[in-house]
Amino acid sequence: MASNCKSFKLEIEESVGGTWFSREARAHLDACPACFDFFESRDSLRRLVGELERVEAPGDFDFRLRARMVAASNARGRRFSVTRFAPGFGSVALASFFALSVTAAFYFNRSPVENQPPLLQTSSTFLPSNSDDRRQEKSAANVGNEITLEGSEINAIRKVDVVRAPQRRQRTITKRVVDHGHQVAGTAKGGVVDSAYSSAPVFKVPNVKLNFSAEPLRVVLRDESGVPRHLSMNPVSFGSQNLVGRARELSSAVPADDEGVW
Amino acid sequence: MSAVSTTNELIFSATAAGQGSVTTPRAAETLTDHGLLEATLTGDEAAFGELVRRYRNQITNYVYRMTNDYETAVDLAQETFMRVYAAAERYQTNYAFSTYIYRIATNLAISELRRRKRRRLVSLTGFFQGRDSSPAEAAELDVPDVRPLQDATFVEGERRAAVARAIATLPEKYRAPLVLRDIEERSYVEIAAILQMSEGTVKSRINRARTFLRDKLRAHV
Repeated sequence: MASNCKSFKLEIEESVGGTWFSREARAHLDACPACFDFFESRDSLRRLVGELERVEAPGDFDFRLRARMVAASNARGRRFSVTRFAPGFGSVALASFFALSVTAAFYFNRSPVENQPPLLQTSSTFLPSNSDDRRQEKSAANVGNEITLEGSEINAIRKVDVVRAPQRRQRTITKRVVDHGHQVAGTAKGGVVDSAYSSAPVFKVPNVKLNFSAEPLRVVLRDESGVPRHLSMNPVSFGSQNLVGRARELSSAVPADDEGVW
Repeated sequence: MSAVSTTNELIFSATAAGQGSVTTPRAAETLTDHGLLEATLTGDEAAFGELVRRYRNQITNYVYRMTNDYETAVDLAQETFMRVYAAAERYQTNYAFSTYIYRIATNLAISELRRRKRRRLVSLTGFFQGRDSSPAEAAELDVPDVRPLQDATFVEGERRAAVARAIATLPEKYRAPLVLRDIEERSYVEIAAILQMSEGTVKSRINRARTFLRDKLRAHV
Protein backbone atom coordinates (compact mmCIF):
# COMPACT_ATOMS: atom_id res chain seq x y z
CA MET A 1 0.00 0.00 0.00
CA ALA A 2 2.86 2.32 0.84
CA SER A 3 4.54 1.79 -2.52
CA ASN A 4 1.20 2.39 -4.19
CA CYS A 5 0.78 5.64 -2.24
CA LYS A 6 4.21 6.80 -3.41
CA SER A 7 3.45 6.16 -7.03
CA PHE A 8 0.04 7.82 -6.77
CA LYS A 9 1.54 10.84 -5.03
CA LEU A 10 3.96 11.17 -7.92
CA GLU A 11 1.03 11.06 -10.29
CA ILE A 12 -0.80 13.69 -8.26
CA GLU A 13 2.31 15.84 -8.21
CA GLU A 14 2.80 15.68 -11.94
CA SER A 15 -0.81 16.09 -12.95
CA VAL A 16 -1.69 19.30 -14.70
CA GLY A 17 -4.30 21.19 -12.72
CA GLY A 18 -5.39 18.05 -10.91
CA THR A 19 -7.88 17.25 -13.61
CA TRP A 20 -6.33 14.22 -15.15
CA PHE A 21 -5.96 11.00 -13.23
CA SER A 22 -5.93 7.39 -14.19
CA ARG A 23 -8.82 5.19 -13.14
CA GLU A 24 -6.59 3.42 -10.60
CA ALA A 25 -5.51 6.74 -9.12
CA ARG A 26 -9.10 7.87 -8.64
CA ALA A 27 -9.97 4.60 -6.97
CA HIS A 28 -6.95 4.93 -4.71
CA LEU A 29 -7.86 8.48 -3.72
CA ASP A 30 -11.30 7.30 -2.68
CA ALA A 31 -9.82 4.53 -0.58
CA CYS A 32 -6.72 6.23 0.94
CA PRO A 33 -7.39 9.25 3.19
CA ALA A 34 -3.67 10.17 3.40
CA CYS A 35 -3.35 10.36 -0.35
CA PHE A 36 -6.63 12.26 -0.51
CA ASP A 37 -5.33 14.83 1.98
CA PHE A 38 -2.15 15.13 -0.04
CA PHE A 39 -4.21 15.66 -3.17
CA GLU A 40 -6.36 18.28 -1.42
CA SER A 41 -3.39 20.26 -0.17
CA ARG A 42 -1.64 20.16 -3.50
CA ASP A 43 -4.78 21.07 -5.35
CA SER A 44 -5.54 24.03 -3.10
CA LEU A 45 -1.95 25.22 -3.35
CA ARG A 46 -2.07 24.93 -7.11
CA ARG A 47 -5.30 26.90 -7.23
CA LEU A 48 -3.84 29.49 -4.90
CA VAL A 49 -0.81 30.00 -7.10
CA GLY A 50 -2.83 29.75 -10.28
CA GLU A 51 -5.24 32.41 -9.11
CA LEU A 52 -2.53 34.99 -9.06
CA GLU A 53 -3.53 37.64 -11.56
CA ARG A 54 -1.36 37.79 -14.62
CA VAL A 55 0.39 41.04 -15.20
CA GLU A 56 0.70 42.41 -18.70
CA ALA A 57 3.28 44.49 -20.41
CA PRO A 58 2.56 48.23 -20.42
CA GLY A 59 0.99 49.81 -23.47
CA ASP A 60 4.15 51.57 -24.53
CA PHE A 61 6.24 48.42 -24.26
CA ASP A 62 7.02 48.30 -28.00
CA PHE A 63 7.72 52.00 -28.11
CA ARG A 64 10.16 51.86 -25.23
CA LEU A 65 11.77 48.72 -26.53
CA ARG A 66 12.36 50.28 -29.92
CA ALA A 67 13.79 53.41 -28.28
CA ARG A 68 16.16 51.32 -26.21
CA MET A 69 17.31 49.37 -29.24
CA VAL A 70 17.95 52.57 -31.17
CA ALA A 71 19.84 54.07 -28.23
CA ALA A 72 21.94 50.93 -27.87
CA SER A 73 22.67 50.94 -31.58
CA ASN A 74 23.74 54.60 -31.49
CA ALA A 75 25.92 54.01 -28.45
CA ARG A 76 27.58 51.11 -30.21
CA GLY A 77 28.21 53.29 -33.25
CA ARG A 78 29.77 56.04 -31.15
CA ARG A 79 32.00 53.57 -29.41
CA PHE A 80 33.31 52.25 -32.68
CA SER A 81 33.69 55.69 -34.24
CA VAL A 82 36.24 56.78 -31.66
CA THR A 83 38.93 54.55 -33.10
CA ARG A 84 37.58 54.40 -36.59
CA PHE A 85 37.56 58.13 -37.26
CA ALA A 86 40.44 59.29 -35.10
CA PRO A 87 42.64 61.21 -37.56
CA GLY A 88 45.92 59.45 -38.04
CA PHE A 89 45.57 57.45 -34.87
CA GLY A 90 47.63 54.57 -36.20
CA SER A 91 50.21 56.82 -37.83
CA VAL A 92 50.71 58.82 -34.66
CA ALA A 93 51.15 55.68 -32.63
CA LEU A 94 53.64 54.27 -35.14
CA ALA A 95 55.63 57.52 -35.27
CA SER A 96 55.74 57.72 -31.50
CA PHE A 97 56.99 54.18 -31.27
CA PHE A 98 59.66 54.84 -33.92
CA ALA A 99 60.86 58.01 -32.19
CA LEU A 100 61.03 56.22 -28.88
CA SER A 101 63.01 53.36 -30.41
CA VAL A 102 65.50 55.71 -32.07
CA THR A 103 65.99 57.65 -28.85
CA ALA A 104 66.55 54.50 -26.86
CA ALA A 105 69.00 53.11 -29.43
CA PHE A 106 70.95 56.38 -29.50
CA TYR A 107 71.09 56.51 -25.74
CA PHE A 108 72.31 52.97 -25.26
CA ASN A 109 74.75 52.99 -28.16
CA ARG A 110 76.71 56.02 -27.00
CA SER A 111 80.40 55.52 -26.10
CA PRO A 112 80.68 53.70 -22.83
CA VAL A 113 83.64 55.94 -21.85
CA GLU A 114 81.45 58.98 -22.17
CA ASN A 115 78.20 57.64 -21.10
CA GLN A 116 78.69 54.79 -18.73
CA PRO A 117 81.42 55.03 -16.16
CA PRO A 118 83.38 51.81 -16.10
CA LEU A 119 84.52 50.15 -12.98
CA LEU A 120 88.11 51.00 -13.75
CA GLN A 121 88.59 54.18 -15.65
CA THR A 122 92.08 54.84 -16.86
CA SER A 123 93.46 58.14 -17.87
CA SER A 124 96.95 59.30 -18.50
CA THR A 125 98.48 62.57 -17.67
CA PHE A 126 101.45 63.48 -19.71
CA LEU A 127 103.91 65.58 -17.88
CA PRO A 128 106.72 67.55 -19.30
CA SER A 129 110.05 66.46 -17.95
CA ASN A 130 111.47 69.00 -15.63
CA SER A 131 114.91 67.61 -15.25
CA ASP A 132 117.48 66.40 -17.74
CA ASP A 133 118.28 63.53 -15.40
CA ARG A 134 114.85 62.22 -15.98
CA ARG A 135 115.54 61.97 -19.67
CA GLN A 136 118.51 59.73 -19.27
CA GLU A 137 116.47 56.61 -19.36
CA LYS A 138 115.87 55.69 -22.98
CA SER A 139 114.08 52.41 -23.04
CA ALA A 140 112.08 50.14 -20.92
CA ALA A 141 111.81 46.42 -20.98
CA ASN A 142 109.76 44.11 -18.87
CA VAL A 143 111.80 41.52 -17.10
CA GLY A 144 109.65 39.40 -14.92
CA ASN A 145 107.67 41.84 -12.96
CA GLU A 146 110.13 44.65 -13.26
CA ILE A 147 110.13 47.41 -15.76
CA THR A 148 113.64 48.17 -16.95
CA LEU A 149 113.97 51.56 -18.47
CA GLU A 150 116.65 51.70 -21.06
CA GLY A 151 117.01 54.57 -23.43
CA SER A 152 113.55 55.81 -23.04
CA GLU A 153 111.90 58.22 -20.81
CA ILE A 154 109.01 57.85 -18.59
CA ASN A 155 106.75 60.37 -20.04
CA ALA A 156 103.59 60.01 -18.22
CA ILE A 157 101.99 59.40 -14.94
CA ARG A 158 98.94 57.39 -15.27
CA LYS A 159 96.11 58.05 -12.98
CA VAL A 160 94.11 55.02 -12.19
CA ASP A 161 90.66 55.98 -11.24
CA VAL A 162 88.86 53.32 -9.33
CA VAL A 163 85.23 54.03 -9.36
CA ARG A 164 83.21 52.58 -6.61
CA ALA A 165 79.48 52.25 -6.71
CA PRO A 166 79.08 53.28 -10.31
CA GLN A 167 75.31 53.39 -10.04
CA ARG A 168 75.47 56.09 -7.41
CA ARG A 169 77.71 59.03 -6.88
CA GLN A 170 81.10 58.37 -8.33
CA ARG A 171 83.88 58.30 -5.84
CA THR A 172 87.30 58.33 -7.36
CA ILE A 173 90.47 57.00 -5.88
CA THR A 174 93.53 58.06 -7.76
CA LYS A 175 96.69 56.05 -7.76
CA ARG A 176 99.78 57.18 -9.41
CA VAL A 177 101.96 54.66 -11.03
CA VAL A 178 104.67 54.95 -13.52
CA ASP A 179 103.39 54.52 -17.00
CA HIS A 180 105.37 53.62 -20.04
CA GLY A 181 103.40 53.47 -23.18
CA HIS A 182 100.11 51.86 -22.28
CA GLN A 183 101.30 49.00 -20.18
CA VAL A 184 102.60 48.82 -16.67
CA ALA A 185 103.52 45.37 -15.54
CA GLY A 186 106.22 45.66 -13.00
CA THR A 187 108.66 47.82 -11.21
CA ALA A 188 110.14 50.76 -12.98
CA LYS A 189 113.84 50.77 -12.57
CA GLY A 190 115.37 54.17 -12.86
CA GLY A 191 112.14 55.78 -13.81
CA VAL A 192 111.43 59.38 -13.24
CA VAL A 193 108.35 60.16 -11.31
CA ASP A 194 106.81 63.43 -10.53
CA SER A 195 105.15 63.06 -7.20
CA ALA A 196 102.82 65.94 -7.79
CA TYR A 197 99.56 65.87 -9.63
CA SER A 198 99.59 67.47 -12.95
CA SER A 199 97.23 70.06 -14.13
CA ALA A 200 97.84 69.04 -17.71
CA PRO A 201 94.86 67.99 -19.76
CA VAL A 202 93.82 64.40 -19.30
CA PHE A 203 93.80 62.20 -22.36
CA LYS A 204 91.59 59.24 -22.25
CA VAL A 205 93.08 56.01 -23.48
CA PRO A 206 90.44 54.21 -25.44
CA ASN A 207 91.61 50.64 -25.02
CA VAL A 208 94.01 49.96 -22.25
CA LYS A 209 95.07 46.40 -21.95
CA LEU A 210 95.82 45.55 -18.38
CA ASN A 211 98.24 42.71 -17.96
CA PHE A 212 97.38 40.76 -14.96
CA SER A 213 99.99 39.20 -12.79
CA ALA A 214 99.65 37.50 -9.50
CA GLU A 215 103.04 38.70 -8.40
CA PRO A 216 103.41 41.94 -6.44
CA LEU A 217 104.20 45.02 -8.41
CA ARG A 218 107.51 46.61 -7.53
CA VAL A 219 108.09 50.20 -8.31
CA VAL A 220 111.25 52.20 -7.85
CA LEU A 221 110.63 55.84 -7.37
CA ARG A 222 113.15 58.59 -7.12
CA ASP A 223 112.42 61.88 -5.60
CA GLU A 224 113.94 65.16 -6.70
CA SER A 225 117.11 64.56 -4.73
CA GLY A 226 117.58 61.21 -6.46
CA VAL A 227 116.97 59.00 -3.49
CA PRO A 228 115.27 55.81 -4.64
CA ARG A 229 112.28 54.38 -2.93
CA HIS A 230 111.25 50.80 -3.50
CA LEU A 231 107.61 50.15 -3.33
CA SER A 232 105.80 46.87 -3.63
CA MET A 233 102.15 46.52 -4.32
CA ASN A 234 100.15 43.34 -4.20
CA PRO A 235 97.72 43.10 -7.05
CA VAL A 236 94.70 43.31 -4.86
CA SER A 237 91.48 43.84 -6.64
CA PHE A 238 88.25 44.26 -4.81
CA GLY A 239 86.11 41.22 -5.16
CA SER A 240 88.67 39.20 -7.07
CA GLN A 241 90.93 37.88 -4.34
CA ASN A 242 89.93 34.33 -5.10
CA LEU A 243 90.80 34.84 -8.71
CA VAL A 244 94.18 36.21 -7.73
CA GLY A 245 94.82 33.26 -5.45
CA ARG A 246 93.99 30.76 -8.13
CA ALA A 247 96.23 32.60 -10.55
CA ARG A 248 99.06 32.37 -8.08
CA GLU A 249 98.62 28.65 -7.65
CA LEU A 250 98.53 28.07 -11.35
CA SER A 251 101.61 30.10 -12.03
CA SER A 252 103.46 28.52 -9.06
CA ALA A 253 105.06 31.82 -8.47
CA VAL A 254 106.91 33.14 -5.46
CA PRO A 255 104.76 33.31 -2.32
CA ALA A 256 103.00 36.55 -1.86
CA ASP A 257 104.91 39.35 -0.37
CA ASP A 258 102.78 41.32 1.95
CA GLU A 259 105.24 44.07 2.32
CA GLY A 260 104.70 47.33 0.68
CA VAL A 261 101.00 47.20 0.41
CA TRP A 262 99.58 50.67 0.53
CA MET B 1 18.28 49.09 -35.83
CA SER B 2 18.94 52.41 -37.50
CA ALA B 3 18.60 55.89 -36.10
CA VAL B 4 15.13 57.42 -36.04
CA SER B 5 13.97 60.86 -37.05
CA THR B 6 10.36 60.76 -35.86
CA THR B 7 8.61 59.13 -32.95
CA ASN B 8 6.46 57.12 -35.35
CA GLU B 9 9.54 55.23 -36.33
CA LEU B 10 9.78 53.92 -32.80
CA ILE B 11 6.87 51.61 -33.60
CA PHE B 12 7.95 48.38 -35.25
CA SER B 13 5.04 48.22 -37.72
CA ALA B 14 5.48 51.85 -38.78
CA THR B 15 9.17 51.31 -39.34
CA ALA B 16 8.54 48.22 -41.36
CA ALA B 17 5.95 49.93 -43.51
CA GLY B 18 8.24 52.90 -44.05
CA GLN B 19 11.06 50.71 -45.20
CA GLY B 20 8.92 48.62 -47.50
CA SER B 21 9.60 45.51 -45.51
CA VAL B 22 9.13 42.04 -46.84
CA THR B 23 6.50 41.06 -44.31
CA THR B 24 3.42 43.10 -43.56
CA PRO B 25 2.11 42.96 -40.00
CA ARG B 26 -0.89 40.91 -41.09
CA ALA B 27 1.30 38.39 -42.89
CA ALA B 28 3.61 38.17 -39.90
CA GLU B 29 0.78 36.90 -37.73
CA THR B 30 0.58 33.72 -39.77
CA LEU B 31 4.25 32.87 -39.49
CA THR B 32 5.70 30.54 -36.90
CA ASP B 33 8.19 31.78 -34.33
CA HIS B 34 11.05 30.35 -36.35
CA GLY B 35 9.76 32.02 -39.49
CA LEU B 36 9.48 35.34 -37.72
CA LEU B 37 13.02 35.10 -36.43
CA GLU B 38 14.36 34.22 -39.87
CA ALA B 39 12.50 37.20 -41.28
CA THR B 40 14.01 39.35 -38.54
CA LEU B 41 17.45 38.25 -39.68
CA THR B 42 16.72 39.65 -43.13
CA GLY B 43 15.96 43.05 -41.60
CA ASP B 44 12.20 42.61 -41.37
CA GLU B 45 11.37 44.57 -38.27
CA ALA B 46 7.65 43.87 -38.54
CA ALA B 47 8.45 40.22 -37.97
CA PHE B 48 10.36 41.10 -34.85
CA GLY B 49 7.48 43.30 -33.76
CA GLU B 50 5.16 40.32 -34.08
CA LEU B 51 7.49 38.24 -31.93
CA VAL B 52 7.42 40.97 -29.30
CA ARG B 53 3.64 41.07 -29.39
CA ARG B 54 3.40 37.31 -28.94
CA TYR B 55 5.69 37.03 -25.95
CA ARG B 56 5.78 40.40 -24.20
CA ASN B 57 2.99 39.59 -21.74
CA GLN B 58 4.22 36.10 -20.99
CA ILE B 59 7.77 37.22 -20.38
CA THR B 60 6.71 40.23 -18.34
CA ASN B 61 4.48 38.07 -16.15
CA TYR B 62 7.13 35.41 -15.73
CA VAL B 63 9.83 37.89 -14.76
CA TYR B 64 7.39 39.68 -12.49
CA ARG B 65 6.70 36.47 -10.59
CA MET B 66 10.42 35.86 -10.34
CA THR B 67 11.35 39.33 -9.12
CA ASN B 68 8.07 40.51 -7.54
CA ASP B 69 8.74 44.00 -8.96
CA TYR B 70 6.77 45.26 -11.95
CA GLU B 71 9.18 47.94 -13.16
CA THR B 72 12.07 45.55 -12.97
CA ALA B 73 10.00 42.94 -14.76
CA VAL B 74 9.23 45.31 -17.66
CA ASP B 75 12.85 46.38 -17.84
CA LEU B 76 14.13 42.80 -17.90
CA ALA B 77 11.49 41.77 -20.43
CA GLN B 78 12.70 44.49 -22.77
CA GLU B 79 16.26 43.43 -22.16
CA THR B 80 15.22 39.90 -23.08
CA PHE B 81 13.89 41.04 -26.45
CA MET B 82 16.97 43.13 -27.08
CA ARG B 83 19.14 40.08 -26.54
CA VAL B 84 16.95 38.00 -28.80
CA TYR B 85 17.36 40.61 -31.51
CA ALA B 86 21.11 40.96 -30.99
CA ALA B 87 21.70 37.20 -30.94
CA ALA B 88 19.24 36.29 -33.67
CA GLU B 89 22.07 35.05 -35.88
CA ARG B 90 23.19 32.59 -33.24
CA TYR B 91 19.73 31.17 -32.65
CA GLN B 92 19.53 27.44 -33.28
CA THR B 93 16.27 25.86 -34.30
CA ASN B 94 16.87 22.75 -32.21
CA TYR B 95 14.72 24.21 -29.45
CA ALA B 96 11.38 25.90 -29.56
CA PHE B 97 11.60 29.66 -29.64
CA SER B 98 9.58 29.85 -26.42
CA THR B 99 12.23 27.73 -24.69
CA TYR B 100 14.93 30.02 -26.02
CA ILE B 101 13.29 33.24 -24.90
CA TYR B 102 12.29 31.85 -21.51
CA ARG B 103 15.88 30.76 -20.95
CA ILE B 104 17.14 34.27 -21.62
CA ALA B 105 14.50 35.74 -19.32
CA THR B 106 15.33 33.23 -16.60
CA ASN B 107 19.02 34.05 -16.75
CA LEU B 108 18.29 37.77 -16.55
CA ALA B 109 15.90 37.31 -13.65
CA ILE B 110 18.34 35.16 -11.72
CA SER B 111 21.10 37.69 -12.34
CA GLU B 112 18.83 40.41 -10.99
CA LEU B 113 18.03 38.36 -7.88
CA ARG B 114 21.72 37.79 -7.24
CA ARG B 115 22.45 41.46 -7.78
CA ARG B 116 19.78 42.30 -5.23
CA LYS B 117 21.30 39.87 -2.80
CA ARG B 118 24.65 41.63 -3.11
CA ARG B 119 23.05 45.05 -2.77
CA ARG B 120 21.01 44.09 0.25
CA LEU B 121 21.88 46.20 3.22
CA VAL B 122 21.26 45.40 6.81
CA SER B 123 17.52 45.42 7.16
CA LEU B 124 15.85 46.67 10.28
CA THR B 125 13.41 43.80 9.98
CA GLY B 126 16.30 41.38 10.46
CA PHE B 127 16.62 42.47 14.08
CA PHE B 128 13.13 41.24 14.81
CA GLN B 129 13.63 37.79 13.34
CA GLY B 130 15.26 34.73 14.75
CA ARG B 131 18.84 33.78 14.00
CA ASP B 132 17.78 30.49 12.46
CA SER B 133 15.72 32.09 9.71
CA SER B 134 17.06 31.78 6.19
CA PRO B 135 18.56 34.81 4.40
CA ALA B 136 15.63 34.92 2.04
CA GLU B 137 13.24 35.10 4.94
CA ALA B 138 15.34 37.70 6.68
CA ALA B 139 14.62 40.20 3.95
CA GLU B 140 10.89 40.04 4.47
CA LEU B 141 8.84 40.95 7.43
CA ASP B 142 6.41 38.11 7.04
CA VAL B 143 4.29 38.26 10.12
CA PRO B 144 1.19 36.15 9.56
CA ASP B 145 -2.01 37.92 10.39
CA VAL B 146 -4.62 35.31 11.30
CA ARG B 147 -7.38 37.73 12.13
CA PRO B 148 -10.36 37.49 9.80
CA LEU B 149 -10.97 40.54 7.65
CA GLN B 150 -14.39 41.96 6.92
CA ASP B 151 -14.15 42.74 3.28
CA ALA B 152 -14.03 39.66 1.08
CA THR B 153 -12.31 41.54 -1.71
CA PHE B 154 -9.70 42.74 0.65
CA VAL B 155 -9.24 39.18 1.90
CA GLU B 156 -8.72 38.00 -1.63
CA GLY B 157 -6.16 40.70 -2.29
CA GLU B 158 -4.39 39.93 0.94
CA ARG B 159 -4.21 36.26 0.08
CA ARG B 160 -2.77 36.94 -3.34
CA ALA B 161 -0.22 39.27 -1.86
CA ALA B 162 0.74 36.61 0.67
CA VAL B 163 1.15 34.04 -2.10
CA ALA B 164 3.26 36.44 -4.15
CA ARG B 165 5.43 37.18 -1.15
CA ALA B 166 5.80 33.51 -0.39
CA ILE B 167 6.90 32.78 -3.94
CA ALA B 168 9.32 35.68 -3.80
CA THR B 169 10.95 34.26 -0.69
CA LEU B 170 11.63 30.90 -2.30
CA PRO B 171 15.25 30.22 -3.23
CA GLU B 172 15.78 30.97 -6.88
CA LYS B 173 16.54 27.37 -7.79
CA TYR B 174 13.08 26.39 -6.57
CA ARG B 175 11.29 29.53 -7.66
CA ALA B 176 11.98 29.29 -11.37
CA PRO B 177 10.68 25.74 -11.86
CA LEU B 178 7.62 26.43 -9.72
CA VAL B 179 6.70 29.59 -11.61
CA LEU B 180 7.26 27.93 -14.95
CA ARG B 181 5.15 24.97 -13.96
CA ASP B 182 2.29 26.36 -11.88
CA ILE B 183 1.97 29.86 -13.31
CA GLU B 184 3.28 29.62 -16.87
CA GLU B 185 2.02 26.02 -17.16
CA ARG B 186 5.04 24.76 -19.06
CA SER B 187 5.66 21.05 -19.43
CA TYR B 188 8.40 19.30 -17.50
CA VAL B 189 10.33 18.69 -20.70
CA GLU B 190 10.20 22.36 -21.61
CA ILE B 191 11.19 23.44 -18.11
CA ALA B 192 14.12 21.07 -18.22
CA ALA B 193 15.21 22.62 -21.51
CA ILE B 194 14.79 26.16 -20.22
CA LEU B 195 16.69 25.57 -17.01
CA GLN B 196 19.16 23.22 -18.66
CA MET B 197 18.76 20.43 -16.16
CA SER B 198 17.32 16.94 -16.20
CA GLU B 199 13.62 16.28 -16.03
CA GLY B 200 14.04 14.40 -12.77
CA THR B 201 15.77 17.38 -11.19
CA VAL B 202 12.96 19.62 -12.34
CA LYS B 203 10.33 17.37 -10.75
CA SER B 204 12.31 17.15 -7.54
CA ARG B 205 12.72 20.90 -7.30
CA ILE B 206 9.07 21.57 -8.02
CA ASN B 207 8.12 19.09 -5.29
CA ARG B 208 10.45 20.83 -2.82
CA ALA B 209 9.15 24.24 -3.86
CA ARG B 210 5.56 23.23 -3.26
CA THR B 211 6.45 21.83 0.14
CA PHE B 212 8.16 25.11 1.08
CA LEU B 213 5.21 27.06 -0.23
CA ARG B 214 2.70 24.99 1.64
CA ASP B 215 4.60 25.59 4.87
CA LYS B 216 4.64 29.33 4.25
CA LEU B 217 0.96 29.49 3.28
CA ARG B 218 -0.33 27.17 5.93
CA ALA B 219 -2.86 29.77 6.99
CA HIS B 220 -4.32 29.97 3.50
CA VAL B 221 -4.15 26.39 2.28
